[in-house]
Amino acid sequence: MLFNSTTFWVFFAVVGVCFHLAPRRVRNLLLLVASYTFYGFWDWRFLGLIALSTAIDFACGLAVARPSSHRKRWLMVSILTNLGVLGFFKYYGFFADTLQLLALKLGVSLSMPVLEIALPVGISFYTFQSMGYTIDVYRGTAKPVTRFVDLALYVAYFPQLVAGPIERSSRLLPLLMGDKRVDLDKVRRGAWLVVFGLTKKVVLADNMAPVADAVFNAPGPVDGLTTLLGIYAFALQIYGDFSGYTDIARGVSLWLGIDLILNFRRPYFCASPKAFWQRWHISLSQWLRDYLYIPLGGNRGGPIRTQRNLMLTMLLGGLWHGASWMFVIWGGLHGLYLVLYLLASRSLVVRAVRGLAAPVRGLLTVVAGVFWFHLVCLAWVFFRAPDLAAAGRLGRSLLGPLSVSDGDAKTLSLMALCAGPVLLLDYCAEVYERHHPQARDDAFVRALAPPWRGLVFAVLIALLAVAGAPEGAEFIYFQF
Amino acid sequence: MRRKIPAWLRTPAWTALWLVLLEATTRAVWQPGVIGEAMYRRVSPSFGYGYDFHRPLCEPRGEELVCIPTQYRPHAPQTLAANKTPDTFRIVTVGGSHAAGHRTMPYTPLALVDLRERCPERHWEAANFGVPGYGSSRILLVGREALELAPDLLVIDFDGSNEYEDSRDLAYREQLHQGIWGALFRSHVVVLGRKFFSAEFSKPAKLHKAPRREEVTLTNEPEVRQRWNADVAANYEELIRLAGERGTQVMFVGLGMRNRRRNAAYEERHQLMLSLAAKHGVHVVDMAKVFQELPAKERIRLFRRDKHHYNIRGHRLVAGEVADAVLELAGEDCGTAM
Repeated sequence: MLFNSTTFWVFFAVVGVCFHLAPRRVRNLLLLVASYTFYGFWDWRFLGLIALSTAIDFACGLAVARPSSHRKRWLMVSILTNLGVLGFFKYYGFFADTLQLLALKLGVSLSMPVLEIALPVGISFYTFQSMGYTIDVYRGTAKPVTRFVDLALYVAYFPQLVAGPIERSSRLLPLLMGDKRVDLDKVRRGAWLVVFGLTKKVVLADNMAPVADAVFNAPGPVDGLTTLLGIYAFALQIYGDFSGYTDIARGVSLWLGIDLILNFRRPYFCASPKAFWQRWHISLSQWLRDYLYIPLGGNRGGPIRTQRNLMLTMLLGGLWHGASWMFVIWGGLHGLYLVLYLLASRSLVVRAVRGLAAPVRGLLTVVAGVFWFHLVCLAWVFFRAPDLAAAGRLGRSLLGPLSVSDGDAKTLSLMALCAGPVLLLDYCAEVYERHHPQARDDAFVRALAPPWRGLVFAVLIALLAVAGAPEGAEFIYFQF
Repeated sequence: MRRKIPAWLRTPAWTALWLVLLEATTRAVWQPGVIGEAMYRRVSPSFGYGYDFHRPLCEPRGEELVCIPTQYRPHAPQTLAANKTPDTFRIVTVGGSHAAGHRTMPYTPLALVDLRERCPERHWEAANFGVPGYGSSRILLVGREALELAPDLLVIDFDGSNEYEDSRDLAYREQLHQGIWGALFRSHVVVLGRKFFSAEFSKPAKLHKAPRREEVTLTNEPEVRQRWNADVAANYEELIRLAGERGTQVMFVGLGMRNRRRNAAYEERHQLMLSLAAKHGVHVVDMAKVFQELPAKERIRLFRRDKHHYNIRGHRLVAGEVADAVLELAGEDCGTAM
C-alpha cells in the first residue's frame, strides 16, 4: 500500500474517521490494528516477525528496567535478537556469498546453504527503532512500557513503519501514550507536508526515475553530458523519493495527532559533509551517532580515533542501506568526505576564509555548495550503479565527449519543469528559516498572505494532476 | 454586517479559486482564435488518446460545422453545413491510417470531388475521421460521435490491423485521463497538460519503440488473432446497430493488398469483413478483389514505400470505387467513375 496510491488514501480515510470517533483509550489499539493491516498489505507472513521482535523487546525492556545484575544480559538478548533477525533476513546471502568468494580465493571450496529469503519491507527501520527502545531503557533515557499495545504501536506505527523516520523511544512513546490532540495547526502542517511530499515523489522522483534508469542501466557507454544529467536525475530522484515519503508520513501522522521527527532539511542546500548529514536522513544520522559513533568513542581520544570512528560509522551506515558492497563503498566515500572535511576545517586556509568579508564568504559558500553537491553525486553513482563495472562505465562515460543531443535538451526541460518548483520552494524555505531559525515545515508558506498561499497549493495540485507519473512507483527506501 | 471567512477556510478557498481560475483560463485560451489553428490542432483529440475530450469532432462556426483534421492530412479543414438540407447526401468515414491517408490525400475527399463532378445536382458532403493507429475499439468511439452528425452513409474503412495499438493506447489513455481519482477527468488543465507533457517527454517514445516487436509477436499468435478478430466483429456490429437505429447506411471499404496469402492476418480480416457484410447486409467495396485483378507490377505502383499504405494513385483508385458504390447506394444515375 503505497502513499501515492488510491488504496492508501481510502485506507487512511477509514482509519482517520475511526480514530477520531473512537474513545481515547482504544485509539492505540485501533492504530495498531491499522498498522498491522497496512503492513499485511505487503506481506502478511512477516507480521509474526514484527510481533515477535516487539514481544522480545517488551520483555527485555521490563527486565532491563528492573535493578538487577542481569540488566546487561537482557540488553544483549534484545540487541542480538534484533541484529540476528536483521542479519538473517537481510545479510545472510551477502555474507554467505562473500565468505564463499574469500574461501575460493584462498583455494578452499566452501559450500554454504542457499536460502531463498524474502526481505521483509522496512526491516532495517523497525529493528533499529525497536532495538533503540531497550537501549534507551537501559540507559535510563526512556521509561519501560507496561502496555504491550503501546510498544507494539511504537514499533509498527504505520506512517513510519516501512521507511522511517527512525524514531527514538524517548520521543515517540510519550506522544503515542499521550492524548494525540489534533489541532488546526497540525491539520495545516499536515496538509502542506502531504501535498509537498506527494509533489516531491510523484512529480520530481517518478519523472526523474526514467532519466536516471536510462543512464544507470545502459548496456554500453553513454555521452558525457547524458551521463552527467542521469546522475543529477538520480540525485534529484532519491531526494524527492525519500524526503517525499517522509513528508507524507509526517503529514498523515500529524492528522492523527503525532508529530514525527524531521528527517530532511533541504540537504542539497549545504556546503559541507557535516552539514549534509545534519540534513539528510536526520533520524538515521542521529541513531548512528548515539548508538554507534558515541559508544565507539566519538570524538574523544584524539583525531585518529575520531577519524576511525567516523569511517566505521559511515561504513556500517552504508551497509545498513543494503546487503551490497556498493552501499559499503558509498558509506566509505561519505566517511572519507567527513574525515577530509574534519582535517580541512582545522587548516589555516579555512581559518583565513572565516576572516574574509561577508560577500566574498557568501560567494565561496556557493562555490563550496556546488562542489559538495558534485561530491554527493559521485557517491550516488556507487549507491545506484548495480555493480562496480557499471560505476566504472559511468565514470568513463563522464570523461567522454560532452556533446549535446536533443534528448539532453529534453531532459533539461523535464528537470526544470519537475525539479524547478520543488527546489524553488525549498530555497524559499531555506532563506526563511535562516532568518527564523525556529521555523519548520510550512512556516514559510504560512508567512505568505492567504491568496499567495493558495496559489502555491494550487500550483502544486495542478503539477500533481498534470506532470504526476501515472502509475504508482515504489519508494526506493522500501528495499532497505 | 460583513461576515469574515474563518481563518482555516481561507487557504483552501484561495486554492480552489486559483484552480478554478486556471481551468477557466485554459478553457478561454484553448480556442483556435486565441492560440492559433496550428497550436489548436497540435494537441488535438485525434492525437492517439481518444475522443472523450470536451472538444467535439465538429464545431459550429457560423453557417458551417468545422470538423477536426486527422493527423497528416495535407488538405484544408473539412466543413459540413450546420443545417443539413434535404438534398444533401452526407458521408462520414471512420478508420485507421488507410482512411486518414497516411501522409497523402485520402480517398474520401477525392471521392467527394468525383461525386460533385459527376452528380452536381445533388449536394454532396463528406468528412473523414480516420486516425492512424486506431483500431476497432477507438473507431467505434469515433463512429458513435460521427453518427451524431446525421450522415446518410457511414464508411468504415476495414483495415482492422490496429487492435494491438488499441489495447495499448486505450490502456495508456485510461492512465492519462485518470487525473485524481477520475475527478479531474474532464478538466482541460489535466487533459491538455497531460497531453502536452506526454507528447514532450518520454512516454510516446517509450511506447513506440519496444512494443513494435511485441506487436509482430502477438500478431503471429493464433489465439491473439482470434481475440482481436472477435473484438473487430463485436465493435463493428455495434457500429452497424447504432447506424441502423439512426437510419444511416453503412459501407465497408476493404483493404487493397499487394499480395494475398492464405491464413495471413490481413486475409483473415478480409474474410471477416465479407462475412459481417453478408450477415448484416452491409455494402462492400472489396478493394482486395480490385487490387488482385490488376497486374502485379501495376499493384506495386499503388503503394507507398512502406508497401502497406496507399500512395495518391492508390487512393485515387479507391476513391473511384467508393464513388461508384455511393452513387449506387444513393440511387443516383450519374455515370460510372473514370
